[in-house]
Amino acid sequence: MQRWLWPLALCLWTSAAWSEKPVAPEAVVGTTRVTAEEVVQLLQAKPGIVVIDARRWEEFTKGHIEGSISLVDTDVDAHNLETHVPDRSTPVLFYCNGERCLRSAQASSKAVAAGYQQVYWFRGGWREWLDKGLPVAH
Amino acid sequence: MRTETLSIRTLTVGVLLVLGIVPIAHTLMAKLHFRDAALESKVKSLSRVVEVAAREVLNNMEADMIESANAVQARPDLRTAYRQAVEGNLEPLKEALDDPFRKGFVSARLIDLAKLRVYGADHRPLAQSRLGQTGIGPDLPPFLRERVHNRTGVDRLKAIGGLWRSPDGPRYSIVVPVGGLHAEGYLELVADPIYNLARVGDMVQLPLAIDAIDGDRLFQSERFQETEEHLPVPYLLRDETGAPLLRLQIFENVADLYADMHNTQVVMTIGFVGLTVLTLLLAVWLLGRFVVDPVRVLAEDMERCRRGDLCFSREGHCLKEISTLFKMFREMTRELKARSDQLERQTLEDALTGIANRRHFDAALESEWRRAVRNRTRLALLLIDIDEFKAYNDTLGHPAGDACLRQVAQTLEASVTRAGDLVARYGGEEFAVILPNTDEHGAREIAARIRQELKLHQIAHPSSRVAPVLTVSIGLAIAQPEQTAVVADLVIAADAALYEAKAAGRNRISIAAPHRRPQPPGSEQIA
Repeated sequence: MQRWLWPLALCLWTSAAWSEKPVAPEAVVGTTRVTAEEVVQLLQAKPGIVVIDARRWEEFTKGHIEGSISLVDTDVDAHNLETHVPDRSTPVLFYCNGERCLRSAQASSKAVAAGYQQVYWFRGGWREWLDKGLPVAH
Repeated sequence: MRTETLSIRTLTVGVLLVLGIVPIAHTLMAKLHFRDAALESKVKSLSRVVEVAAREVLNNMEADMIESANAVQARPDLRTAYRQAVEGNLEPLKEALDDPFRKGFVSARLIDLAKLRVYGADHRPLAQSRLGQTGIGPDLPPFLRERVHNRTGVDRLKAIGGLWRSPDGPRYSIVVPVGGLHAEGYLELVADPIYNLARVGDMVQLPLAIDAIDGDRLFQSERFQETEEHLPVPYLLRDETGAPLLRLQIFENVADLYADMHNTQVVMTIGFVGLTVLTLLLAVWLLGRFVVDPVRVLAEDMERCRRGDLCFSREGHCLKEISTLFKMFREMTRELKARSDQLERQTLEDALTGIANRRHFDAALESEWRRAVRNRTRLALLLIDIDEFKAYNDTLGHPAGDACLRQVAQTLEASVTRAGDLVARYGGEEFAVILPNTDEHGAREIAARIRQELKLHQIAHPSSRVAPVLTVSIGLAIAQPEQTAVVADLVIAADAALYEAKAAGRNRISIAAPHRRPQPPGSEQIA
């Protein structure tokens, strides 16, 4: 390769690396991955389920899934979870902005680590919810 | 070939004028066509603009309606009233549905709320607001009812709606589930879309009118005006079933367009006229330089040639074809001249001997005679006859006779060396020599020289009674030409002298007496 091509290739690689946003993992160990439709079915099938919105508070106030509670992923730990969900057999569902957001993946894995037995992870998150035209609560 | 009175120049100018006038006339005549085409194109593009604006407005309105409907159904009092209504107590629900009207639901001025209606989980009408517009009917519009009925699963949670026609005018409905994700029932929010569509005029910055499809005017912007200079641009808005519902019209001021078109037409016309004039001038100049002038020069050459002057003009710039004409004309003229010269030579030359013939002799004698009269000089004439030539022919044959004549002719030419003298074959075995400006002494000298030269050749003449070799008799006459005298007298005198020489025994020179009319002259023999 020509000598001058090396800096060019380096620049391209760097810009590509910077421009790429983080992508949520395909699966989180110990959780059940669900879609928006499955979220609706879960809410109807398991009335006691706790839906946790792992996004920032400002985002939560602009619109969220009806009945969800706001708990940012950084605040998720065994103690906080226990405050909201005392019984570890209670089904818990986490969501955040979508597949470019890592908050819900991290929060749900923390819940699994804390010993919660039914952890559901809505990977598509808020983006999928809006795209499918599902009801928004404010 | 028929000759037209038209010249090349006139014809070319005429053709170019026609070629120039046609586009100008076409431009003038096509004005209306161009205007209609421009207007049609403008209407099409503006209609698309209106369509885009209307869609944008309806999309925004739908988003606002969904947000409002969700806000209404999420109110705790409405949800409580809904559950009471399901149990049979409708009054609280009606009250809850009226509340948004009382509290200025549309204070944000986003939509013009017409009605709120609530349906059960089985989509049957449960209650509707008492406030709001009347005449909307108790149930969902048919297209919406069908769509809502046909939904299953999670789709039942989604907001759904569309544009439809009520008896009171166009309406837009949005249906959202009551009870959020549990979809206990449905809430329909009905709005009048005219309120939102009126913004289309502001979006495209043009006056707007909205008419119902049956003709009633539903909206007209403040700066709306309908004049000849305002071009109506219609756009037909259809309801969810595809039936025409509203006619949106914006009015574009086309005065500028007309002015632009007029300016364009003026510029084009001036351009065509200028181009035509320039082309004409160029064509006339080119024609003059390369066609007309060369043809005139050629015609002058032809006229000069006709008069006998074969001087050609110098060939200037001309087209290839004209140049060919020039060349052909010159070649033709040169060839004709060569042939003419040849013919002339043939008419003046004796075919056998190559010296001047009788015709040439007559003309030359006449000419020299006139010159002598003019210059008052003398003119001498020798008539020479070969002695016993008939016997020569009879003895040696005619080919030998012809050869003899040629030799005598050559000898005569060799003897007569002065410029202006002429040796001619007078006829048969007779020759003549014209000696201008020559006196008797000079003429006699030349005659003697002739005889001397002939003698030197020693041409054998076995059958001659005069001598064993060829001899000649010469008659010499000299005249001082006068106006009154005639040239024939000189010939007669010379002839008489020749006769005298022959009569005296041949092989001699006989001289006619000068300055008198020919009388039987005294003869003299020079041996």
